[in-house]
Amino acid sequence: MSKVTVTINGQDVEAEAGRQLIDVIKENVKEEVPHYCYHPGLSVAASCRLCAVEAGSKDADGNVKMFPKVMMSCQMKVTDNMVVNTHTDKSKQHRKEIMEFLLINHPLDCPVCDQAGECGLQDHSYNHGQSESRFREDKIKQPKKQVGEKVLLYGDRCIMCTRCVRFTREISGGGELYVHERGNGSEIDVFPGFGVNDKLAGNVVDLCPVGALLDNEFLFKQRVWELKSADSVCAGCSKGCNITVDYNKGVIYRLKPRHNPEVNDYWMCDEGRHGFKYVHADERIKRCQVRRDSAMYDSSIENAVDSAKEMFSEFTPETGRKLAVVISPMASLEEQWLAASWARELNEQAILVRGPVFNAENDETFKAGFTISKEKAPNRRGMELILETFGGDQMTFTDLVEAAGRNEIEGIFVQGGYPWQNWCPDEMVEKLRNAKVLIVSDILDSKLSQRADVVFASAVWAEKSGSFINDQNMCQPFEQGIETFEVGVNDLTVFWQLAGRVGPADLELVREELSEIKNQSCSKEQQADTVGA
Amino acid sequence: MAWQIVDRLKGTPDSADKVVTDEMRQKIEAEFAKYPTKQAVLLTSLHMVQNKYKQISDQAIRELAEIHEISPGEVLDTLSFYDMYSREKLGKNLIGVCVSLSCDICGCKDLMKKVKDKLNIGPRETTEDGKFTLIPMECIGACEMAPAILMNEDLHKIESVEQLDDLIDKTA
Amino acid sequence: MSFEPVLTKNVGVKDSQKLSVYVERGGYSSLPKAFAMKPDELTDLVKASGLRGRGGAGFSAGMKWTFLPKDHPGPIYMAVNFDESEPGTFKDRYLCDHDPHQILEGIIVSSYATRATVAYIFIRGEFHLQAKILQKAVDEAYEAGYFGKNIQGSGYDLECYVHRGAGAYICGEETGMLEALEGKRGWPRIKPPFPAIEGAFGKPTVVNNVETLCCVPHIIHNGADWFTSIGTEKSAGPKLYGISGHVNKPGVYELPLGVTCRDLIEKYAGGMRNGKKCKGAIPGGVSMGVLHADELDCPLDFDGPGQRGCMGLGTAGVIVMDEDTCMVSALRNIVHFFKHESCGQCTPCREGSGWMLKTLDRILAGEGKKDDLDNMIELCDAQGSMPGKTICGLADGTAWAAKNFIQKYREEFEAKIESASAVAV
Repeated sequence: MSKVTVTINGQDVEAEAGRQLIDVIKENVKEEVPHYCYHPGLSVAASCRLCAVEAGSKDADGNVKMFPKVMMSCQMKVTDNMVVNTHTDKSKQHRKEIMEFLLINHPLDCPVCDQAGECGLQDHSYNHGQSESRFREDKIKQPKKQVGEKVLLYGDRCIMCTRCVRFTREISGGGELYVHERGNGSEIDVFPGFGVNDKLAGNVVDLCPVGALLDNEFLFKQRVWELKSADSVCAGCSKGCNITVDYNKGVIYRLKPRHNPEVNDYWMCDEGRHGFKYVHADERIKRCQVRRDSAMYDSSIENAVDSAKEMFSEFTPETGRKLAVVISPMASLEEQWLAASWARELNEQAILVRGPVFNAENDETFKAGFTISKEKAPNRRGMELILETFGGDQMTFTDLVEAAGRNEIEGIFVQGGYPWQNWCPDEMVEKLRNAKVLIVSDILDSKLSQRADVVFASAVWAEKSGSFINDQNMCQPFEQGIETFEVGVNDLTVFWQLAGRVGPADLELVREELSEIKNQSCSKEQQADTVGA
Repeated sequence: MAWQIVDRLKGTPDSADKVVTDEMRQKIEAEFAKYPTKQAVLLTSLHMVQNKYKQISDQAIRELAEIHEISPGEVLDTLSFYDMYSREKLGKNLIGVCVSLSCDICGCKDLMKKVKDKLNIGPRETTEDGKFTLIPMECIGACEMAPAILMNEDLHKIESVEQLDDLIDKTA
Repeated sequence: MSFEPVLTKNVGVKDSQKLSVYVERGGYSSLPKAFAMKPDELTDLVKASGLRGRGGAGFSAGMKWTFLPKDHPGPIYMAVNFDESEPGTFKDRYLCDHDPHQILEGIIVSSYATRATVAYIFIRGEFHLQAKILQKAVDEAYEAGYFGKNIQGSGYDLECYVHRGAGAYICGEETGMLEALEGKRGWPRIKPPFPAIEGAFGKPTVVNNVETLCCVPHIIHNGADWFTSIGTEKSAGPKLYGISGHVNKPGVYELPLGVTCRDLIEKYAGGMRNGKKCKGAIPGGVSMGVLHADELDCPLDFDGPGQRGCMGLGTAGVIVMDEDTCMVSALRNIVHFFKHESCGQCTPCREGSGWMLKTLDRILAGEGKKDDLDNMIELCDAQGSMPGKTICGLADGTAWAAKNFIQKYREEFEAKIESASAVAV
């Protein structure tokens, strides 16, 4: 791609030829060109008319000739010697006028609107609008519409940017949303019975720059300025969409996608978006537990670790007893590494077991190529990598269960982390129980945790930092958002202490140890910006 | 308005009786040959349905969506944009009174009043017996005949309200 | 040199719609002359004639044809704009009623010049009778071998289809028309790319008005010089003037470009009705603005109205208003038209048209406020006196019309507001 030089507000900037001017402006100068209908992931509409700039060109002698009218920066492609001024009097006046037009029929109901705090109208009004309106007529009212199972449309607030319509036509392919009628009375609508119900439906809520399209799951739940965000990776499937976890006071309120052009572009599916209910379910294992005289007692992590160490001390090589450690595809790469390291340090013949991977029937691919993976585990490839590195005795989970059923394995450590309770059916639990020592680290209470000798309260992905390797072999780091029930207790700590390492669990040190074997480095630079208005 | 939530999730049930008859379908398919895309024939198909049934129902939209290989939302997107297609059932006869400038300054308001007095219908209203709907239209391209009306498909220059009266009687 | 009408020469002739009558009177005889030229030669001829588009924009037709890409594998489309919906305009309908084959002849030679292989005639949905007349004429032409493969043995193929619209003024905008042709809502497209590069179905497309195309056979017969000799220096050729409103003989009059508004009213349209005085006249479809009674000596060519504060000549559809006309109501009628026809994509047009209509209704209901007029004038500039604010020119039409009316009839508007505030105690 050839490079061109564009002068923006007096500053010379280099950019690839043919890129949209609005993107080049955003990346290079601090002055913001506000917009609504433009979105880098969708086709150009140029209908909101807000992104006006004054443009022209410079000839060989440096003489600048500007076009007499304002131009929309979203529809212009950069060319060599282009001159752009974003904050001239004409363009500022134009923006004021557009903002005035956009607000004349707007209900201005910020106090009851979910979007307040992250609203395009609020932000651009404040920065580019005017404080008074000359409108003294009656406003147009529109009904609210339930346009999808989880998508609610507040018609009054809509500014007709048509991002949502373009999304359903270009990205998800369903074509459900459309513009009804024309002119002043136009509304967004769906054909009755054909709502926005596919697995990408939640993205239209992200796209909507105002509080018109809302997520029923988040409706009225939380003010956005109370939310803190953690950059994370979705643990729903092996695609590994980059997301942010928005939480407050230890409760997750919503997940939103982050832009990553190589993984998920600007989108995420609703399975992941709405699939975090289990994090706050009552069935979460909140404390570590230790079995004494057939009963399970809550225990501190130190006590649980000591009990576990004591029980596993019978499985050193000299004893000849077989020890199996399940490496879970739901766990982070660092945990998998520590689990395997500890297991083989304890007994170099310890069997490493492939945790079960649950698959849906098929991948689901949408029009523009977004694919939801059928593999519902975020880190199977991490598990494969660890197993490959360590080599030695290995078996599948079903084989483990059968072997335990035949009393061949006496010590078993199961790492779970699946978001549903009965991932290990009762018959399998009973077979595993044949072992003398059964230690479980899991997130949801189940027969497995009830029959174990020691239970470690595992952390879900949002409660810890770590990395997952996705189905494109990209190692993606994620940050902790909320705390575990017992602050600081997670699988990294458990394995760190089991391995007898001193001090608090050091994630960076583990990552360093891992970096020698990983085929891709896993640095903070991989993270990209959040989807914004 | 703003306090109502309209439910769009429940649709009308599919009907076994097809709106687009086999004969209509054949006509539509003959049109496909004239254009590179199937959607291009949509305006023509919608005219066919509108003329026959005086409305375009949910069932019609579903069938047209399938014939033209687009989503029902896209059919509605096109349909709702144009003045000549109606989701509500219109009367057997459409009295299209032009209300644009030339006809306005030449007395179209008297014609509207005549229709109101005679048939008791206002703009976009239909008589109880379903015989007439009054449609105010924007410039119908007959300004030299102002005030002009389209009675169904026929253009008329109205010289007096009595003439309109007779025309309505003759059409009924 | 006296002026002989060419476009309307078959009006009044018995059975002028029939192909046999048309041919008898010299119809389709420009075809062999056109086919004897190369397409580029024909384009140059039209360019030299100075023919400017008759659809409202007045852009040089020949120059528009040169924008098509050279050596394109095709297909290239000709889209004929028969979506005549501008209030005050009825000349294309008139041409179709009296001489449909002239339109078809114009289409054939223009398609040949632009190497188009399919011509779509986009006719507005409300022209029921005209669509039937046109389809019959097309069928006759196919039968006689003027459409189809190897026309008249020339080796040139051309298909012609009539495509009915469904009631939207904005489908008269060239890219709005292309969207409607493709079966979608008539939302004008952003330009670039222009239709000549990427038009109907993504292919290069020429869009021309019916009257423009009708001029081409006559240019072929009589030459470019003949065409430039008619009219004024920058506005060549004969023009179909439509005149309606408060005149005695409303109708279509074919005259050389440049006749004054006053002459049109008094010499050709039989003067004002009922002996009334003229208060104002729309020069060319309501988008153009209004000429005050003092400005009636304005020559109606492509530059005259612009020099008097109007947007331009437009379609030359003149609407004449007499002294009893309430200009506030007239403006309200025009703004209502634009509000109804706005496609809704662009913020200023969608919101501004509704806003202005509500303000005018309030003024007419007797609740006008003193600053309403100045506010509306500012709104006009915000909507589009300056092109570029919106994707298409509809907002410009609204803005020019409103601004003209308020500025030229200011006292009447102010009186309406003052009388209301005087009444409301």
